[in-house]
Amino acid sequence: MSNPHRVANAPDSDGDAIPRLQFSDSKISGPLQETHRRDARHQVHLVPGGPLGQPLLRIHGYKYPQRVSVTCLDTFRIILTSPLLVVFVNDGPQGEDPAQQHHADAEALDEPSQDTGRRTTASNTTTAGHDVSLEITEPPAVGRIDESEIGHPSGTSSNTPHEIREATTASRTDIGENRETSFFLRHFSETPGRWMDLFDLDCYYSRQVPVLARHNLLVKYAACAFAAKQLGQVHGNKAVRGGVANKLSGMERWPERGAIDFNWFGMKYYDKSILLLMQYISEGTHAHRDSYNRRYNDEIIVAATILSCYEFLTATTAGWSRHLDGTQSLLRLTNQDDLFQFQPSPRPSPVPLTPPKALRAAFWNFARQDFLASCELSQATCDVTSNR
Amino acid sequence: MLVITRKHTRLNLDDLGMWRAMGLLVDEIGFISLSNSSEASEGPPRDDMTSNTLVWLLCKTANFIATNSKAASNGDHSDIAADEDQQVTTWRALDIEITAWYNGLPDTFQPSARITLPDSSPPNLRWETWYANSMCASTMQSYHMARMLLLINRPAKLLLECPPSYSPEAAAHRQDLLSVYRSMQTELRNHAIEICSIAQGRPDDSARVHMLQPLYFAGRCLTDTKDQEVVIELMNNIEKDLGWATEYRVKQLFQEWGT
Repeated sequence: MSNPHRVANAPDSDGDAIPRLQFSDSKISGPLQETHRRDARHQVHLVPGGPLGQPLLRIHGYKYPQRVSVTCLDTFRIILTSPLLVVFVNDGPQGEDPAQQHHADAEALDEPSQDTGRRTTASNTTTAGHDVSLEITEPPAVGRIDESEIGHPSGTSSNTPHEIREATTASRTDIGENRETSFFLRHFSETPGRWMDLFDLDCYYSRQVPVLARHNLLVKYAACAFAAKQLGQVHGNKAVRGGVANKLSGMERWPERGAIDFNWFGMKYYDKSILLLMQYISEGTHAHRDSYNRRYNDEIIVAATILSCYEFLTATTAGWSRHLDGTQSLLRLTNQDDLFQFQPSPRPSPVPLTPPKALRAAFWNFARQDFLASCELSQATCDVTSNR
Repeated sequence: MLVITRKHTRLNLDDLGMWRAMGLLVDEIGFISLSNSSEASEGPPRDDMTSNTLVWLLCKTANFIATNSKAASNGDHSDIAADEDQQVTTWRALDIEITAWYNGLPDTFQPSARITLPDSSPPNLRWETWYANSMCASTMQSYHMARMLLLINRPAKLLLECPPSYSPEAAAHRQDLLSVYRSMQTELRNHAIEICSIAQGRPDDSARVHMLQPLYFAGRCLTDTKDQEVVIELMNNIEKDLGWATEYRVKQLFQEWGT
């Protein structure tokens, strides 16, 4: 059943040789299956966030934008469970209990040699005939968020940078993250942010989010993710805002020519945001509570609503439950302490509390999505039943 | 047996304190009050809160639908009569609230321009409506959708009765199922036409991404093929121009129309 073709042994001299997957600096690049387009690009992020704190893996690719769930078997082996079953060897120290066995596919593993030096090659047959080879060129480096740009270093990134495995994008583009985020942030403010502002005379998302983004990386990356994904959906066809002009500013244009895979950038920033969001949430346990007895600050909620919009953008009937689950889990995380349920502090306050604008904007955005979710799910469920 | 489960909203709609803190335009007992802002600052309420208040009503409508379908699928016949009475009460209350919201609307929610398209146009969708404020355009589309949702989910017990919002002339008419069917179809079509005429006026992109659901329900209520083509084109163009996923709703419409 499985394809005997061994990618790992494909001779390099053959022009049609399938390039190997390169595992390098937390990044795997190369086609995941033989029929893959040659220009397909993949990137695998190792991020903390598995059920027991194991690394999660995401594959970013032109053809496979799905997030891939991953089970970490022990410190050396990680299995991707879907959509391709890929077995590869990870020689990076993960600091997790090696005894954790969560997956029944363990027999598919070849026990990797322990001399996980700079160049270890493992080849494993995967499901559905997808042969995948992973060449470990170096141990996954401990990454960190590169905040060399404007503004002050965010408190979020400085807290536990060692937990963030950041894949570099140098091979992808050399325009620099500042140029990138400037482009996307401006696009967010001028297009998707305005969508979120339609029912807000204060235009919180288009006007205030760029301001928040100066010091809040989570908000910044969430906005960039939504902007990039939106551009990806329309193949980079970007409207010019602000009327007719003879000359556009540099940041309004993407510096590279040709087809840009904006969806890839969307996923890149989405991942960064989710990482930060999880950090916030895990750190929020002991954080102080505000006068509404809430644990999380409004900026997180603003970012969470942007991220739900990111999910909603491509919602399809088939993908609805997954998107809803994602949204709901975000909501549950933020909701568990009665996010929107006001319990004004026991002591009587002299003036009636007025929620900050950020919270209001986020609240009404959420309320709309809440209605949509109810409305959409009803229909989706009906469709399922009517097909019987 | 069909099992239809529908989903309630995640937000608690009865927590008036929370909603009013967020600016919802209701009084202490939860009745729509567009003329009085609950804000500490005096002055007429802002248009965005008028729009947002409709969202609260839409959420209530969604929960009404969810409760009904749950009751229908439970198969527990013990207290059907009580359920029915509750349905009727809730539906009437919603009808009254949405009417109160509509009657309290300021002028900004009136169309700024409206033209009739040439005769070659589809039979029903022959108008373009434009609002200077796209927030208001989108809100009015949502209003018509809310009306359609209420009509579609009218309790069976009420079918032969005239809801309080109906005109006295209509109420005076003798009702049988055929006349109910016709008047319901006419009403639904009129709401659909309003939604589509705003869409055909090409509001800005932020209004367009929010019009998918209203367009979908409008499409469900339009029977003429040419009208349906217009709706499909409007929906397709949203995804093409803006990247906002609409195809799944297009497919659902085709499925429903049997085309």
